[in-house]
Amino acid sequence: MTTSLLPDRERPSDAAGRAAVVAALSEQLRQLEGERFASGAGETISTGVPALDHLLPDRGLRRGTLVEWLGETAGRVSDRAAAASGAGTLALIAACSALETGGALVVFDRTRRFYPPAALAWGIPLERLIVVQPSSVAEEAWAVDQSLRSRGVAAVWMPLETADEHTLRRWQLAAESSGTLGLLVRGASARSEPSWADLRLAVQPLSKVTAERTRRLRVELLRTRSGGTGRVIEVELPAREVGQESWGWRGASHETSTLHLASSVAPATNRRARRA
Amino acid sequence: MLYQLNAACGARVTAYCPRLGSAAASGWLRELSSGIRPGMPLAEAMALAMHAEDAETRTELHLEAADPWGDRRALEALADDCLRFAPTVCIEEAAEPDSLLLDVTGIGSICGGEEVLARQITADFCGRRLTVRVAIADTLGAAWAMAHFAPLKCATWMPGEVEDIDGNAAKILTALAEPLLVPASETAAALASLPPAALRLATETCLLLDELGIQQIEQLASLRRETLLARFGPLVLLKLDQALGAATEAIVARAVPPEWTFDWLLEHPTGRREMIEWVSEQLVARICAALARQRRGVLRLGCRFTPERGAAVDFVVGLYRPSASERHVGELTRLKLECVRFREPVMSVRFEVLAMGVLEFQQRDFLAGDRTSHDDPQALATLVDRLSNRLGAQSVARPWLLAGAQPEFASQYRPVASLRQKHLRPGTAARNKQQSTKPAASRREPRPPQPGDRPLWLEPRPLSLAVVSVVPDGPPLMFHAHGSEHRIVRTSGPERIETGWWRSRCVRRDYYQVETHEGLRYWLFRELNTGRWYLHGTFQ
Repeated sequence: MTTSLLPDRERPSDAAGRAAVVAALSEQLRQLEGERFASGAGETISTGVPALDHLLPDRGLRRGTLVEWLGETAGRVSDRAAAASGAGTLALIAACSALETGGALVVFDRTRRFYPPAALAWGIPLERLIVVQPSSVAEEAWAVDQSLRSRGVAAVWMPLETADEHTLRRWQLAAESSGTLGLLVRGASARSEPSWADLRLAVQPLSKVTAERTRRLRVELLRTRSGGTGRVIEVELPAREVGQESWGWRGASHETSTLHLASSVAPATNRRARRA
Repeated sequence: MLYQLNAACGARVTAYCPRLGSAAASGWLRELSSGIRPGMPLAEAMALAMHAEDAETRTELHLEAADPWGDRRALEALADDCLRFAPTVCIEEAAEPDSLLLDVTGIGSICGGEEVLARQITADFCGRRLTVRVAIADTLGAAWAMAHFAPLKCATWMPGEVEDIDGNAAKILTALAEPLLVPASETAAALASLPPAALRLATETCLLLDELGIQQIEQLASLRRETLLARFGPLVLLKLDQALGAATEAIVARAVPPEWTFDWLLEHPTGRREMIEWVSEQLVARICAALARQRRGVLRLGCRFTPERGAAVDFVVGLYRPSASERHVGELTRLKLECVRFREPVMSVRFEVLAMGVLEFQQRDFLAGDRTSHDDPQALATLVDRLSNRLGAQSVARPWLLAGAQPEFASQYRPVASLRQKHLRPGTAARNKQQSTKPAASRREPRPPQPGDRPLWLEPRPLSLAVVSVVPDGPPLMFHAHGSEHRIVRTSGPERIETGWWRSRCVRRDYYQVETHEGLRYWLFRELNTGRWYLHGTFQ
């Protein structure tokens, strides 16, 4: 004997209504989970990339959750090489969006390689950025837990090589308790590992020449609690300003971007005199 | 409190170059500073120091940004420490004070003589790596004048004997350490040969006196008082009388700072961590209760655990904002204690409040405003306190943009715990501060890069690469990094950066953004001096 969570009059009469049933059940599940969240947690915020918002079931990222961004490539390269995939930049843009309701962004940089001017260029205000440089993995795990637990932190951004299941579970509970968004940038090897993240996205760069000279990324929804797994979308990172450096080798000339230390001198000969 | 001054000790704290003040006219000071004067352009001062003809007088300059408020605080700390020598200590009343005034009336007989007392003060300052010139005279004005303008001698002051000392800085510093003792009733003779500036007169007055040919106090004192009054006003006469003891001069004693030290002496030495933690909690509770009564909070708490034998264990608990919360301060202390190992049983525990501040109270919003907002400075301050105490203040930092073209010097980190509370709040304060702070090397405003111009990951040290290029001095076609061969399909650049000539060597680089056939993007550069290729950044 089977029981249904839906009243009899709402039971679907055909197969077309099954999708609606699944959606309703997902909504009920989300409401049940929502009771665990602290005030403010569970609210949806944009990823900062409209196309990516449409890919996600909630049309954005939910506060108080962990989101994993997996940097991948079409070929076989190491995780360290795949770090250049653009996943970190997408996560940082999402962090910038999370800052809109106040709070600080905490960046964990155990390898001392984070470059703040690039973060500023992507819209992160430096006065709201705190960079934590732990000296060990254990210290980092503790500090991430503390940061995710703080009500004054809007988002935590960190590259994560490896983490055990218990640590991730602790971070998830910490994020839920405060409504802080945890953005974990990982390598492709994390795809097979269990996770407590609410969302897991695979980011793969595409080597395509586009008219707008922007960077194209292929984003795949690997894991979500709300369904829609396996959906793929291509997004473009925001274009650079007109007049900046363009793509393509310009030959041996350095004139386009040479920094003149002294202003150029006017021509020595007078045109009128030359005509005469 | 006002005290009638009978005898004074003027202590001149000197450093090599900063704040020479009116004393720059002294020959020994010019000798010491290689001719460097206050107000001189930095480039001129550096040229003087570097191109001195005599190798012995060539000085290696140590440059620091001017910090008058920091100087004042340092002088106040010295004044507090000088309370061990005299019950009344004050700081000279001046825009930029550089002297401490001690009322040593009757102290000499206790210490075995005024010279012994003066040498004790000198030795104390030497222990702090500070050079001090001590003068003891009947009046405050005479002591100040002697400390600032008396010629250097190798022995105690002798009336009528003026001896210039030629020598290097070491000799001068040794001579400076000699105390100047003006015997009673010989004040006028001691001041006779000193310039009028020794009377603490305004610069304009000194220049006018100089134009009139008055080079010494003796000449000034010989003039008719009516003439002086008519030409210079009452101030010159007052200062002269004060220096010679004809007029009284009062000093404002510096208030004795209250001691916030709490001790716990254990009956039996113990190495049990639970016991030590319990004692710490008790001391923290006492401190917080005492401070809360004055509406103050702890900013820095010094903790000392003294064992029965061996060296004591010290650490400092730093707070981002003042707190009198027993729970919060206790938790931070416990975090520090977790990182400490006690090799010997602890006998006594001492907690001392090193810095405190006024507690900030904020009324809670009854209607609970925006529940989704994360703008909670108090929660953020608590987090910063925890992280800074556990990981170290340097490990929790805020980036600061600099106006440097070289990528390594385009930003710097400052510990968040060292910033003031208002800077943590998102707003204009931090932004204004950031814009007003300029590096000494450049006056250009920092220009933020465009999105995608700079990599999110910058190698602390550029990684040397083996690169395949077709065109000499052209962009690379292939390189090997991170265990993989990367074939380059697109290149952007070069962006030439030539800078840093004022550092050890000029940096000349051509930067390229390269994209591999797999879409990965890196930041490479070719060192123009050597032609070598390096990987400097990763567009994460």
